Amino acid sequence: MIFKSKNNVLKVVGMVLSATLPMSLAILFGTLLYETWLGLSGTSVTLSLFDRWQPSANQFGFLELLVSTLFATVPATLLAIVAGTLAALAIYLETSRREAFFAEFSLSLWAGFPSVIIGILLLVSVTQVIGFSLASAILAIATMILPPYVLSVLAVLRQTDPTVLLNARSVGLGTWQLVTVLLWPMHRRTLMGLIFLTFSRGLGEATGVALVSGGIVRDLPPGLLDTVNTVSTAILRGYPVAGGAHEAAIYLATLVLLILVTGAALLGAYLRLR
Amino acid sequence: MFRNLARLILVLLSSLPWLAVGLLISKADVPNWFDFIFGWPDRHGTAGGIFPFLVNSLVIVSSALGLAALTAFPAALVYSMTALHHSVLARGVIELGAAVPRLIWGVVGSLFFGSVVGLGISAATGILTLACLLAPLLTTIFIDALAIQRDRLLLTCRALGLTDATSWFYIILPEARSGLALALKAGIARALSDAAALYLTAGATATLFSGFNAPASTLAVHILMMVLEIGGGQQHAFATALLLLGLVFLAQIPLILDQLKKGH
Repeated sequence: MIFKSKNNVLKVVGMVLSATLPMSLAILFGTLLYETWLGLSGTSVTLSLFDRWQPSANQFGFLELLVSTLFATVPATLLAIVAGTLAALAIYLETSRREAFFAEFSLSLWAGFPSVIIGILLLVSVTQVIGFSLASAILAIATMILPPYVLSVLAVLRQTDPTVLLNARSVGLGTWQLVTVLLWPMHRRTLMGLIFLTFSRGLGEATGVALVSGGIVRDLPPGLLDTVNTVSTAILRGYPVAGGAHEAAIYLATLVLLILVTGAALLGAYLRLR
Repeated sequence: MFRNLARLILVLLSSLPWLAVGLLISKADVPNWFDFIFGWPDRHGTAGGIFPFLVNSLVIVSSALGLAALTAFPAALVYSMTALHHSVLARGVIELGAAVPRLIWGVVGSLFFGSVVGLGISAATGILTLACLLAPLLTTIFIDALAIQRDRLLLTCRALGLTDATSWFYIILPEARSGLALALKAGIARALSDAAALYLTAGATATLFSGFNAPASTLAVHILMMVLEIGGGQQHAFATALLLLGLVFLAQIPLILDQLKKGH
């Protein structure tokens, strides 16, 4: 009897505590929506999509931030996907046990590098050659999203039944054929989900990019060697000093970023979990 | 051709983290590491030691991790014990929480805990924001650790006539203990690495933790400040970065080795 009532108490406490997780997400969306609405309705500055993003001149055009974000994130994601998929396939199909262990260990360590450290490393290496630029921002994002992508792809590949792989090898399928005939059709949905999840990670990357991107958009569309300002770097640099219309614009930028990230992440989760 | 290209890329990618560590070591020129670790900062943190940032990091990370685990563990338990673990929606909500960028948690944490609750830019705001950020991540790792033991043991426990509650609390949870501990270590690494959220919520002052209502800068925020705002302290930033990376590796390596053992 006592044991049963103790169980019920534990169950109720567990339920209440676990409810804080969806609650924190509700607070996240609710606060941001409310503050954006409050900020936009209380400010006299019109937010135009086609203005420049120049807080000092009270201009808060989103287009250049959005274009810069996509110009940095899409190539970075493509780079990470191509290099990451090849690396994962090499670990899975082409390396000995010892080589695979070393490669995975190195990539796992890399996945744990703090974004700010990646930023300062690129600052003293890459920016010395190509300057503060879109190319540096692409490399910063790719460096952050690549290792988790490789490890996730590898985890997916390892779900393949080893006997199927062995049979495919024994009938003479080469590496490329194994990928196109067996692995891709088998894991297509999960891998597509991972690609969207990786893209959403890239969209949210701020610290490393802020240190190497330059923080100003000079031309639209930006060239590879032009400085850029992404949505996340504009928020990171602007939020601590923002007030009035700038603050409202930052909230709107945060909301836009949240919608983009959650859209890509939800699509990724749907594809992977369905 | 395809095989060679894949192998070449793998060699390049595997060597990059070691090159990065080498670059960090070569740039971190510290005459006396003891003075650096236990000394007090000078000239806005661009010279002297990093003791306050180290203490601030330990206080903020341990408090946030404790709070996050307090909500993540029951959430993972409820999810794993009930029919929720068949629900794509429930898993989607947890994964959505883990996918929200730290920067957004930082802005909302500063708004909600700083302005609405009234804590301002302080260690408390930083801790609560970091806890919100860590909770979904910890929940996913806890769920994975519990799922392995549930799938291995629950059916056998039921066959032996044990109730689900007894099976969970006396058999499955003790077996999952090492997996749960590894999840906490992953949380420590993630919390130590965070700069964006804490920069916006806990502030960036070069002072020692003096209470939850005062600002407190962590190691990662200190590095960000030196490079992004103050400037002129790059050598100092590299030494701090090397120490931070060492701490992150310490927390992470057991988890990596465990995962590699399972993978192979």
